[in-house]
Amino acid sequence: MMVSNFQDLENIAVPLPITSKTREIAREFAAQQATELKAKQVLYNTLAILTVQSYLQMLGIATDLFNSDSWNPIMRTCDDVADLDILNLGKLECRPLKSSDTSCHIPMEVWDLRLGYVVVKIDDSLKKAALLGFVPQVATEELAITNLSPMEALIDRLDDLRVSTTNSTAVNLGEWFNHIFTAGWSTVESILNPEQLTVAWGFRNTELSPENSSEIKGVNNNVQRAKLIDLGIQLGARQVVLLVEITPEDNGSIGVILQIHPRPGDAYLPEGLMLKVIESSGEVFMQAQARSQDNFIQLQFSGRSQELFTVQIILNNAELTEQFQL
Amino acid sequence: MEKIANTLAQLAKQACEYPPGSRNRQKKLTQIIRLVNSKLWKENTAYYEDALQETWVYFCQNICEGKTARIYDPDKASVVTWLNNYLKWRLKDGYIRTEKQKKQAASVRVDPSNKVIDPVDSLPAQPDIPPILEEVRKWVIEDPEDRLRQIHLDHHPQITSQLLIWKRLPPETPWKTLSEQYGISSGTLSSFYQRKCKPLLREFSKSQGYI
Repeated sequence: MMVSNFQDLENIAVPLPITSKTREIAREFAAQQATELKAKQVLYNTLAILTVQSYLQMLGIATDLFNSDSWNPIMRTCDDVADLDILNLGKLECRPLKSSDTSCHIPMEVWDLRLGYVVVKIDDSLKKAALLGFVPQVATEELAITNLSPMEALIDRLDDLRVSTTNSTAVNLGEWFNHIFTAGWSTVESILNPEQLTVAWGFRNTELSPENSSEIKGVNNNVQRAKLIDLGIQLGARQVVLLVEITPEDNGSIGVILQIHPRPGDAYLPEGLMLKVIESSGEVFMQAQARSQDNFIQLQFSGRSQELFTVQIILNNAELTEQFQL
Repeated sequence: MEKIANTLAQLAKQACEYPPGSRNRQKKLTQIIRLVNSKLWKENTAYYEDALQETWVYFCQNICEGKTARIYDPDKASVVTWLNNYLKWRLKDGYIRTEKQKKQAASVRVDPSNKVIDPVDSLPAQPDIPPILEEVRKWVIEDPEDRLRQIHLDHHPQITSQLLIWKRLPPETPWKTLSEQYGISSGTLSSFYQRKCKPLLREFSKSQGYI
């Protein structure tokens, strides 16, 4: 449901009070700033964040201020930031709007890495607020408030995210050895064309010396699967292929090879495409980036059984994350 | 009035048909807040907003389950009456608390009728450059770990994280100006800033003992 005009918007807004505690914190944060302009920005941002937090708390949605840039004295000093971390789901940007404004300023440095944007109208008395609505993403610095959906859209967005997070447990690579394959993963031959296959396996064979390869012992235990990855709408549905191969190693570890190939039909990978392996601690463990005429990129490592890692494929603003368990 | 009371009774009943924390329960509660708000008691006191917020929390906790008090009984009172009763109790608490504080110190800025004297909150005077910004400036200029000048935008060695963090410190240079100055799109610059520079700032913040 889109809001057609300002009058309707006022009717669908969720009115909430701004508590004295909220005003106190907002003024304290504002007082740390160098200029009056910056102080006002921090004041209004903080009022918006805490009002949204109150609303979410009422609905039983947990937030984590200490994981939010807006709560970090350095981050809020350096940036115009009004993020509120929603526990386990991501950051919600809570943008304030003064009563006379008809569009909401969304600075470019918060266009990325957000699960959405809530616009909060702050009354001039600083005692009343109205949650005007929600958008999942922005592509303009001045968001017209008539483009907002009611707060129910945020409720849906959060619940959708929660459902997909709980259901999309890590791809269990250990089970692949038992030939139990995760939905969406197909045989390599069914996705890549023969030419690409030669490239992929040719490279692998020069990389892996025969001593390391289990094939030499006649126990061919390595398993490969591939998946077509969609890098999102911004790039006109650009697709690439993620290939995973696992091999049991003598010392009990599992060897992992990750490769990204262009979709059959494309000669090269998009330039700048990045492949990252992130440890469960959140540290980037290794990464590779496609140059102008790469026909694939690869990362290779080994890990222990049960170990978790995350694979991230990034191209400009599009990003795909998949979790794996060995 | 009668019509709204019926709608509210309906919504309350529907809300409780869904489990707590479910999206449908959350939506019904949101709809009730929208409708009830204009029917609630209003007054201009320093503690009104706190009392109202407590009322909303009480509403969400006790409309379907009695989590913090007795569960709402639709046979005894309408939703509006139920919430107004609670609100008035909280306002009474606020009044008593304020009276007590007034006796203790003259620090609360209210006049005898409990109206706030200065509704548009004035901001405290600013020091010249607050210590936090000064701290960041020093770190950016000195780059003690020699990292900020090493990390740069792909194919643009002159666009380092040092340069971009510096330009974006308040009062910040607009992305548009930077884009024109360096011939690189605002989107590319701000994306680099978000993905490469912000993590550095967060690390610095941690090293300085902030969260």
